[in-house]
Amino acid sequence: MESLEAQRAALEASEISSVELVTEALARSEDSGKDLGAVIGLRAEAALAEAAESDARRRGGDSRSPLEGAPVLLKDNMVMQGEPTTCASRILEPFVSPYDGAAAERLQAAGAIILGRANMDEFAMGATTENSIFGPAHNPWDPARTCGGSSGGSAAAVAAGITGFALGSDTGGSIRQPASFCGVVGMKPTYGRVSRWGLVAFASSLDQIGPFTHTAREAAWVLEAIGGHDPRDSTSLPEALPSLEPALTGDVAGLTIGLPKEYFVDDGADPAVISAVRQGVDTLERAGAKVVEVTLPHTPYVVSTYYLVATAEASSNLARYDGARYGRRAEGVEDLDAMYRRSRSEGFGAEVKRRILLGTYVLSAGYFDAYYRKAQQVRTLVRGDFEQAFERCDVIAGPTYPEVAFPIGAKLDDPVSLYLGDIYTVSANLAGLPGISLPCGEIDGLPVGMQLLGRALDEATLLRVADAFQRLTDHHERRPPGA
Amino acid sequence: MLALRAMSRITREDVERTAELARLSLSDDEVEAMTHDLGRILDHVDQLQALDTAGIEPTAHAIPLATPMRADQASPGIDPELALANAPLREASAFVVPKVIDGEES
Amino acid sequence: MTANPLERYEVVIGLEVHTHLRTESKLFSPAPVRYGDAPNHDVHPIDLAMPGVLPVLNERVIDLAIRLGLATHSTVNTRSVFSRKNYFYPDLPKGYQISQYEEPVVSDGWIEIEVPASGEAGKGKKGKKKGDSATSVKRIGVTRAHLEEDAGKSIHDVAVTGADGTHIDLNRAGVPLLEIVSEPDLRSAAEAGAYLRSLRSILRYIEVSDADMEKGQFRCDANVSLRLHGSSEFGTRTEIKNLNSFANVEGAIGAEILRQSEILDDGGEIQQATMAYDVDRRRTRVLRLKENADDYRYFDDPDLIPLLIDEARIQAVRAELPELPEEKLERFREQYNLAAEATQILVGSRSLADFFERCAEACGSAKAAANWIARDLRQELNERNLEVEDSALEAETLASLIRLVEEGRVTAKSARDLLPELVERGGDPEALIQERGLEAVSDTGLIDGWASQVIEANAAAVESVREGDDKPLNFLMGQVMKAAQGKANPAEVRKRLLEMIRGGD
Repeated sequence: MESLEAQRAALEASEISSVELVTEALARSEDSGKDLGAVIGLRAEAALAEAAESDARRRGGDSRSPLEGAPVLLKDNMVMQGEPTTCASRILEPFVSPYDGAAAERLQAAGAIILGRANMDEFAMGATTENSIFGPAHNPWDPARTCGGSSGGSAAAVAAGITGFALGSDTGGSIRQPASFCGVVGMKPTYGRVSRWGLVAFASSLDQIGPFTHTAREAAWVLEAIGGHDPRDSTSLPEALPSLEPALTGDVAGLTIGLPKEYFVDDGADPAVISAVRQGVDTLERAGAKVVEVTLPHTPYVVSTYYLVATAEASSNLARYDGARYGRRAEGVEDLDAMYRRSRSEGFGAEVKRRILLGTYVLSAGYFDAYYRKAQQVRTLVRGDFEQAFERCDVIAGPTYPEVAFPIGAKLDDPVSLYLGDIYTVSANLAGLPGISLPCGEIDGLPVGMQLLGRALDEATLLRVADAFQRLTDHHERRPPGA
Repeated sequence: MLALRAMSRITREDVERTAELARLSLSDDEVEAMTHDLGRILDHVDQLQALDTAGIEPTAHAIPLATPMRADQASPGIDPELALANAPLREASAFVVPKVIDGEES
Repeated sequence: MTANPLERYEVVIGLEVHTHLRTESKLFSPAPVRYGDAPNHDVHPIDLAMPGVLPVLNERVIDLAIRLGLATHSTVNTRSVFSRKNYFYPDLPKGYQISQYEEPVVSDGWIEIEVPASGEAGKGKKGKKKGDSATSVKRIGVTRAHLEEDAGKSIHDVAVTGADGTHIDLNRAGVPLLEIVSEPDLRSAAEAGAYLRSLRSILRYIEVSDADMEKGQFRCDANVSLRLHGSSEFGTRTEIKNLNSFANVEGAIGAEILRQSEILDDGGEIQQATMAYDVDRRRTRVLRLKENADDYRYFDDPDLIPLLIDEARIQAVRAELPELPEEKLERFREQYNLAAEATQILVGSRSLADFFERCAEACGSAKAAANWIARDLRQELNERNLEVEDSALEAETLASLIRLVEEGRVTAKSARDLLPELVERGGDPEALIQERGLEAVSDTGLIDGWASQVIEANAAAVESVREGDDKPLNFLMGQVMKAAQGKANPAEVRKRLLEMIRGGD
């Protein structure tokens, strides 16, 4: 009963009620959710009350969507009125939102039951969910290993079957990479597809909310619920979200899959990862897809570009955490300057400070052109790479991450090497494109993720290929021990 | 590649000045660690200097959009109790912060 | 040291004016723009910089910016960009201000000001006076005007805050502003004042801003430097912040000229600094030196899309642009041929000018309307600190009062006495006159009665009049009016007195 599709079927067949589903999910959250460090806050009473309302709707023949009655976890950077939002940061430890974010609103409008909040890297900065005041989240496949990040709690919760789906946010791979590590589907929609209203900003021009599920079909349901124009977000796409489920035909004949030669070089990803991804592509080829080699020549530069753009924006976005109006104010501060310095120094963790400093530095006088503006120019080149590549193919396939989940703590002292791991994911954020990671194999019992990238606004084709792949394979049916 | 390294290595003083701008207080050890980390990151991103970007328009937004606007209609402010509910310190409906010691912006 | 530093130095002034735009809601949030509410009662989560909020541009400000651009002969830029200006201050909730930096919405324009024809520098050079007080027109460049959000208010006043905290009120945070930057074309405190008056008048005419200085809707920073006459290079400038009245602008510039000239006279150097004006001591003082130049780390706000304005929109605004002060002045001169001073007063405010035109049309006499409005009405308004549109008096009401005076049905004095009430409460002049018994008395019997008493009591004056001297006639008329308690029709009194004294020649 752990997948969204199974829950939906059971609810529709009246085999289970939403109240029962939520009760079970709450129990799992208290149990494995806490053991894994995946769940950091529950709204049990409210969720049960809402589940009862959902059951009443269903009895009245008034189901709102495929998500009706299904429990969901939100990454703890999406606000909901009256609920805490911490971003896993000391500085927001005492914060309760006075307003509703779009993601929460739309999930509730679709009938989903928001169970609580999932662990993450502080302010979504990290790739391991270790930078959290709640402690690290663990990988359900091997608790000694990282679940990835920054939306690691959401990925781990879905992999462990705590909820059937969850939301994360993806600024440079923060949905797709943990999905890859945890063996679930994680999707980053086109930039602007899902409203950022109520998503605590990390890097405004890159951030995007998306779903974690087990299947592409489920991801389509969630995206239909949360996507679409929102006038409260100036960067929200005006285009209506097309109906996605009809696109899931299971047919890939006539589609062309591009393999960027830069993603398959010898000194790139772990050869076992490459091999698993190649097998995945072969499966699609056998099903009728055409496979071509494409080139994304600026791939060696994307990580640098990403870290300059993201940290510059973050340094400004995080200036509001100053101890004045909300959040943590340091004790015993007697002048304004001390309030700022001590609240921020005590409130932010090391990785957040590192990125604030980098971002501040690259925007500061004398460095702006050499770093920030340069990165924005390279961003243009990266977009151009994809425009050219998509003239030759419909989706681009490759590894989501160069390796499988590594042990917790393994890269704590080496930020640069951790950053370099983002090489396959950050491009989609720089170019605003939709991307999805789906399980395509395993190495020593650990899941491997294959990433598909699509044209802007073309989530439909992306999901069509992902769904077709899942119809032909059973990687998505594998579950971690104990789930 | 050394010749392409346009930027000089970040110093402790740079880190301290930057921390000042960002209103972060760093211990000596933190300054040391940040100088090392930022130095390594900047060494890596200096690879961009090798790219010729003359005449390339910068991208601020990946997806081009028309200017979104809203009509000039006011709705009442939120309940002041809600506005101030998270305030670390308040008096009546004002936020209270410690006094400014010197005159900065006003 | 000679008293007037302007004999040695030329002063160079540029002004930055912040003016609140006339909108219902804020620049990037739907919270209302209101003045005088309790702290934090007019805020949206956006204005509080709550985590996760996003800005959306208020469409109204675009047309207001276009209007200003057209009214100042500027270029309205078809593309402008909102940037973030990053700095920490508690009345700046986001830690950055959204402002336009490299690409402002309006640039490269000018406005005209009136300056004394002989020029300010000629002051004190006696014997070189040009013989008249004529003014000439000087063109002052407008470098740019850009949209930005206002900050909230920090209340340091111990009377309010009690012990040792600063209170933060964010009601003003996010209120839309245009910052209008002049070229350094101003050469005296008086020119700076003239520029501000002219700019404020334009802003009110085109209904871009109420520009009420008392409400903080119109604030000014002044950049001031000195250089030796004839020098082509600018001296080091200082910036005097937050001047919020015309008197303070002129006072502060005067004080800063003095301060800088004393330093230069002593062979010192001006340091680049931000200054404050101490109104009580009439002195400027250094707030902070700009040695460590602020590093605001401007960059394009990634939450906002560049503002694109198409030509059609500019044309639509142009078509509806009201007559500007300079155009109205010209038209009034030609159309009404009034005294120069009255014209200036009437055109000084768009509402007063409109009121005048409606009144003149209704009463049929532009001259009478101008006299009543520019003198009597304006006095009543000033005493009550009212704008004409805030008074209960309608232009048509004043017109009927003027007609009653012209027709001799009420004396000018009685009419003037009614004005305060009409300004405060309005009403129908004709009915009021009847109700109060203020109708001018034209009844010959009554007038003859008063006249007989006056003639009897003033034999000497009567004799002079009889001998052909008209001068004492005014005195006699005054006596009759006094007896009539001001209600007699003066024309009738004069006529009857002459008939009775000279026997109706």
